[in-house]
Amino acid sequence: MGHPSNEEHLVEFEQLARLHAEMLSAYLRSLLGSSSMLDDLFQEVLVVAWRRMKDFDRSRPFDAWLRGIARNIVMEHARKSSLRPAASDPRTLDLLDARFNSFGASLPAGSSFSDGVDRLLRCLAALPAAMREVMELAYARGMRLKEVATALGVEEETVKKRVQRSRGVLAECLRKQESAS
Amino acid sequence: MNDGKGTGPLPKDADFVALDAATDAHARADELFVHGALGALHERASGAMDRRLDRLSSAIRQSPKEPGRRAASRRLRRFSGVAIVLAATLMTAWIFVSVSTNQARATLMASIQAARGLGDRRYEVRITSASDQSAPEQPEAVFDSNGPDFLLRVRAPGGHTAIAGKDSIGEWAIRREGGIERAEPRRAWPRWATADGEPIFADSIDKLLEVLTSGFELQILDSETVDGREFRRIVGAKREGASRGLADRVELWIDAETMVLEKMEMEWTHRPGERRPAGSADPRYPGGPLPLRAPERDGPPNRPALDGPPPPGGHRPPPPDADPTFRPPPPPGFEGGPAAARRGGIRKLTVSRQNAPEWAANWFSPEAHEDGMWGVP
Repeated sequence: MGHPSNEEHLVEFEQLARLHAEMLSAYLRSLLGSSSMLDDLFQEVLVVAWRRMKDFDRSRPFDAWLRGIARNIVMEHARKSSLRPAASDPRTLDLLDARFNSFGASLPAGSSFSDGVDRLLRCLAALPAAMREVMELAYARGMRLKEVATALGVEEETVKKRVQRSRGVLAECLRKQESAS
Repeated sequence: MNDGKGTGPLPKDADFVALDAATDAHARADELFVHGALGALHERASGAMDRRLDRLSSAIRQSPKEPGRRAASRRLRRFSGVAIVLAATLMTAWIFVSVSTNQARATLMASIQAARGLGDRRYEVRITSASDQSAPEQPEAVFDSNGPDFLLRVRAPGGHTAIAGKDSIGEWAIRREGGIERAEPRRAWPRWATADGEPIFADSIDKLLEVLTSGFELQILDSETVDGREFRRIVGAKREGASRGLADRVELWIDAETMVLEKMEMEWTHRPGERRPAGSADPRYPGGPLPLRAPERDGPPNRPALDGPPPPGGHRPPPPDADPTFRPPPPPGFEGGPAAARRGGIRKLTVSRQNAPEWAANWFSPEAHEDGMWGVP
């Protein structure tokens, strides 16, 4: 038979996109710090990836290639618009990329980023109650810091510090799990 | 706010949780990684990813194809548009191609040509959302055409009217702020065709054929005669593995004499990304779960297959200017974004042919619609 049809290329790409969708969402959220433009950028990244599939070296990891596109697009938006990513200095960006790479490398063969993120469940469960509560309100419920503070009857600054500490604890927990694996 | 690391002010209106400026780059990267991973973890229950992927699926099928097909796709797109009638006609074409012989195909191609030469044509589009009990009286959109010229008017969110079309010069659209857009009219095209992230109509011949060819299992039903007119009925069920944005079911009524599509219904009986019921246990917080937010939209009820909706013949309403329910929207304007959010998404989309009224000579020119009003021919 001849070359794969365009429909077959599409199906293959959609499968790849689905496999790495959660990783891309997480990466964009890490870059942006918020979800305000997440949907649009998610789509833009994958549409660009689709158009550039012919340039993709299939011997290389698709997720890293996708993150490269995402990083370029976010930085391009930052240059041309009022978008202010949470991470924009090259050093932080490089370290963030490295963090995603090391996380991916720690996963067992055949596992996806989504499987790895499940480790967070264990880490969340191990958080002290006060931390777990604030993280749930901030992330699961999508509350802003001020709203969390109101809900808990504490100062906004307290919530901010608690969230930061919680993320630090979770980061450490994840690293330990990666080492153990 | 500035994080002190050259990242600039952070969004004020987002769910961003500020980083500590005092931390070093490693810790910041770690924290951002956790922030991203937590976000990904918690959006699983929202169905957001399914919607993104559905939207992506639609977008990449509209985007330039991989090398070798790109030029051909461009040429095809140049001569095609988001034309409801054209899409419906092509759907008819594909259906017959699939179920008939080559001779039938030739007959069908002739019928397509005949349909194109019909002169003035009007189709109305009605969209029934999951929260609606019945189809709205007012059409969501009206599509007029004559040969290659067409005019599409859509009741956009906020009471605006989205107007786009094509005349002898080419495609155009009325800008939201007023004025005629000819350079990039597609940017101003109403996107209800992918309302709620779900593609309804294709925007190009090649895409439509690709989608439909692989999308539906079709079956010809018995013809129906209504008011002396015979209609061929075709029903299609979405194939397993077809794009999730496609309707689950499609049904068409085709005039047996003229072979012109009279009516088409698309139904969505299942929606991807259904969420867990509100208030159910959240396994992510085993130590003391709080109820999740209520779903932003509910999946539509499973509807039984149609057992024969009223045929279109004999149900044509009078021209809009004689229809008391057919009122122009209040303000001029243009809404180029997605269609208004519909609670629960789209359940059914109905395209029905109407009697075309007498149109002004410049009906397909943008100058006739520059005021952004719905207009009455």
